[in-house]
Amino acid sequence: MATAIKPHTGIGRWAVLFGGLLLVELLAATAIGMAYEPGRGIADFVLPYGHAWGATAAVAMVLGLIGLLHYAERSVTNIVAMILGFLVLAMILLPPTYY
Amino acid sequence: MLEDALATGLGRVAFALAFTAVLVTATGPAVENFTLFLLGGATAVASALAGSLAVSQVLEQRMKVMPTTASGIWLLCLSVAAFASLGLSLFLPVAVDPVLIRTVTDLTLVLWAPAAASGLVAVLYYRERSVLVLTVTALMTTGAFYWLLAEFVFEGH
Repeated sequence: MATAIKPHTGIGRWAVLFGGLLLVELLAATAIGMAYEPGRGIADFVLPYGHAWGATAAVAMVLGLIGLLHYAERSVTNIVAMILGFLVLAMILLPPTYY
Repeated sequence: MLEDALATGLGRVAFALAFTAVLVTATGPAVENFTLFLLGGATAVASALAGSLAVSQVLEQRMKVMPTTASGIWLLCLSVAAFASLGLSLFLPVAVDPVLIRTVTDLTLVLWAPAAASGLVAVLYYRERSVLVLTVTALMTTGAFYWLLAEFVFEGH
């Protein structure tokens, strides 16, 4: 079965919407952070303000997972949104040992 | 459909409650009274419930108690986990590792948000008509909105 790019279910579209929102939030934070403190990496801006996009990441991951498990939503964008949400959540919830 | 719902008794109650919720919510931060702000949130939950029941009445949908869609079941499971995490974060002793307290508090937030989102998807997109799902969705969604709003209107508290 060919894998579609765009989601075909309602829940998949919601997951992709939140995944896109998360990406915009991360890029905006990185751009603003690097403008003020050049030379620091994305993790330096993503981790300390985890509260701001933790909710968006969790929504993208869970809605993507529900779509994948219950509604046969196997589109590429849905899976990408789910993985992005998972990675950001993992970064936020794991103990910040690097500080 | 909205006009039909507003014409019912429940619809008028929902509208009156929504109007009261907006007034009380705006007054709370203006007089720096957090209890009034929370009361506005409780009124908003009641308004959302009355409104969704009014819509169901107009559409002549049969209400069930338990969820019938996958999103509705996920909403209930995530809500239970979010409340468990919230309870744990409130009752953790002060002496424990601050990283643990922060992680449990963050966990409440990251469970609460997808619970509200999956509830909204179940109710709005998959036409879930379970009393339990409607009640928990109204509670979680309004809770998430007021949580976010409180960060701005009670800044520094």
